[in-house]
Amino acid sequence: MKPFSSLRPIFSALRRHKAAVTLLVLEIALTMAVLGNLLFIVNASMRLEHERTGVMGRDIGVIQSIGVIGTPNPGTAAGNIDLLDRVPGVVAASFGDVPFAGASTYPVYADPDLHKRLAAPYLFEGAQGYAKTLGVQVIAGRLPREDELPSSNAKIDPGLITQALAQRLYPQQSPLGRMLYLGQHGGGGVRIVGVMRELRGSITGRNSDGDSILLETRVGNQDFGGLYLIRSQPGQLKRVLPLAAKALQKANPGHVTSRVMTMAQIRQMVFRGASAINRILMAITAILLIVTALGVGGLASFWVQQRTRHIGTRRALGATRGAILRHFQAENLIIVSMGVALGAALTIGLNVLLMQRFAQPRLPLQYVAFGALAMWLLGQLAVLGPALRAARVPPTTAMRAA
Amino acid sequence: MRDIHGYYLRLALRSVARTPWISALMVLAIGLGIGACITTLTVYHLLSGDPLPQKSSRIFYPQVDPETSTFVRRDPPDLMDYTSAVDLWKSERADRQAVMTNSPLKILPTGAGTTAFDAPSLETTHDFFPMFDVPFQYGGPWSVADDTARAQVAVISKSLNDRLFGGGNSVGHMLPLAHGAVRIVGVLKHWRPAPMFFEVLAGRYSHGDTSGFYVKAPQVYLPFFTGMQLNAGHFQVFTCWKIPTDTVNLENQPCDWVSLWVQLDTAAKAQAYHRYLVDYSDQQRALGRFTHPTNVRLMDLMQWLAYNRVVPSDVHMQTILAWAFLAICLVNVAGLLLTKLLRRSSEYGVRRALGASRKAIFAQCLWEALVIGLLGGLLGLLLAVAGLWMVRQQPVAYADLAQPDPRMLALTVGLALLASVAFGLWPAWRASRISPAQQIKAP
Repeated sequence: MKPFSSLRPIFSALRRHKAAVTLLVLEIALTMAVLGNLLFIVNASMRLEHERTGVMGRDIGVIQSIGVIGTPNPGTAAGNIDLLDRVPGVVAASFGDVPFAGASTYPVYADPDLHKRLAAPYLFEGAQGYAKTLGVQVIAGRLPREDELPSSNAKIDPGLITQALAQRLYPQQSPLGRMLYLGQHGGGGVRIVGVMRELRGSITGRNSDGDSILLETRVGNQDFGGLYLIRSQPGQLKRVLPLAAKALQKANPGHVTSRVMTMAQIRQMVFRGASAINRILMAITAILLIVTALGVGGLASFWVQQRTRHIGTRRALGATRGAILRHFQAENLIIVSMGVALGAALTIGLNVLLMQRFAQPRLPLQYVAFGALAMWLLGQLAVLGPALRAARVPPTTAMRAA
Repeated sequence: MRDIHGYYLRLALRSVARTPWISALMVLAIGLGIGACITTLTVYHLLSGDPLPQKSSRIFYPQVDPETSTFVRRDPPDLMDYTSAVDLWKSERADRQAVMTNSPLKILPTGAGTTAFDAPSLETTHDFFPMFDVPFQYGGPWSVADDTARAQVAVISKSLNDRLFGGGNSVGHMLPLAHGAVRIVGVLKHWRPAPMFFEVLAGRYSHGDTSGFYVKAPQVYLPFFTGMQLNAGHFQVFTCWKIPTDTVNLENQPCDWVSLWVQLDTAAKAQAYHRYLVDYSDQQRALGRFTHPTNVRLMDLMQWLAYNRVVPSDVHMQTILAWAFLAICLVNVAGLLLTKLLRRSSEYGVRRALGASRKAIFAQCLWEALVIGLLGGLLGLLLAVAGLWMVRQQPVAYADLAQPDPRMLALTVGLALLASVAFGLWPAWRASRISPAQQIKAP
């Protein structure tokens, strides 16, 4: 069979139904545009949920222990860290900020007079053993030495910065030994002694997420509350964290343990809203596809009904069932292809609108390709039922109807 | 004329009933589209509303630039330093004025089994309450004299009163804090300004993630200067332009952290106040305390909210997507309606041949679209109620605000009519163009 001879009746049929064809093309194009953009938004947001923070999150747990003022408490910060360190299964313990909780951004300056503002990185502050507890990976320089850890009111602290921040502040140069000045934060300077591979204060998808500074300060006999951290032996956190919390509470009768959480739980809490929205958007996507499939199917089924007599005639003249089936499938393919052409333009147009208004990133072309594929598939599925029905039309219909 | 349209309506209903499946499909599609639109538009409307409708145009947010660093901002900072805010407050040039800042305040309930907790607090001055029409259940605001006398008093929210005092009249009771107790002078009624406008700031830096502006109102209100003493060390600065020498007592530090709200009852007063801000700024520069060129702003409440782009960008985006969704549904329905009408070509041909005008056929078809559109609207309204329930399940600060609203009804009718015209016009026109002769000839 010549492949193109079968196309001619299709085109002549399409020309006679301009209105319906136009609507189908529009339907396909709009659905494709919304589908591509929705999937892009959902996918970008889901990818964030799995972005790394740079700490050994699976084995880190936090215990928020809040001092009740006026209640005497025998525990001290240094003593508490030692105590947590000795809990069986704990690899390292400290006190300080963790990604998503505590770490916040501060402007940093190149000079002590705060004239030249460089960036606004996340500041991770903790006590002795902090970097080890977080498990950050040092790729240049070193961690602050035990003997150079400042007490809380020092003016210059040794600190680490992330590779991302280093490359932005000192491109092509070594950051080691350079100074940074913190604006509002007690006004200290930071001497950079090391570079970390990565450490993110929060995960928003912006490049600045990975700009971080880590400072260690020695804590001693003060009694203060806040976030105590432990890192357990790999995979042991579920067992070790409650033990650590119990030990800490026992040693600090004047404190209230307000939260005991694993990093994984904190992360889940942070992304709760986004996951809920993603679920809704996925549901809308599904409904969208169903509505369009029903619309396309409805039109196809009408066409079949309208052309029952033509089909009967063709069957009587020798067309096989397969030929009738292919006719409707090819017809659908042609219409959907026109929709896809328009849809590709609309997909990009909608993305540009969202880029301008909501700082959405540019949509990769794979989404256009995926949308096109989805529309072809959807069209073929929607037309299958009506086309099969058409193929079953017996040749005698043509004669009976006459 | 009315009879004729009644007749068309009956024809339309009969036609809908004759093709139950295709009609149901059309109603469902319209319903889904309208449901999505009403849900997102209602949330959008709630979040972009005026939190103080009776007087927002008389409430203003003054800004000055007190910074002395070499970096000069285009827009003045979102908050003031303590000295400027208190100077302007003391000058009493406005009809009402209140300085404010906020902090977490530790509450220590007495009694067995109770634990300490942090309550969000606002440190402000007397005028806050009358200026923002804050409703009281028991007692009232502290007096103007209490402001400067550093009176050890507080106003608490309904929720805190419910939690600590079981909802009873707690005026005169003591609120136990970390450093001593304060006497309760007033208990608020339920008060849920949305957004919590008097703490809106820095929206320009939030990258559209502004749902935090819709948190619930503070639970404790302390006189400003009382709070400075009681909760020193717990105040957050917005920014500092020089290294602060003391991070506990921020009063004389080179930091922006206090806001000032004023009420100005006439446009002339607002103009005069703006002039006063310019004069104040000039005078402070003459004294050497300010160094930057005079850069003052006096936005009214709604301008301030717009400047901070309070509506979260995902709500914006969902609204746009909902419109796109409705458009898809409408095109779908238009296709279905077209096929349905054309399927009855012979009927219209007969009616035309018997003398019906094109206009009559057109009207009849449009009536059918209208019936389907209104049924779809009804379904959409039900779906929107479900959609808002879904929004209320979200872990966002504004979740509790997403309640069904009587205005949704009018919106539904409007959208349904609009949709009917949008999807019905073309198919109806096409049906009215059917040539009678050809249809009658056809078997």
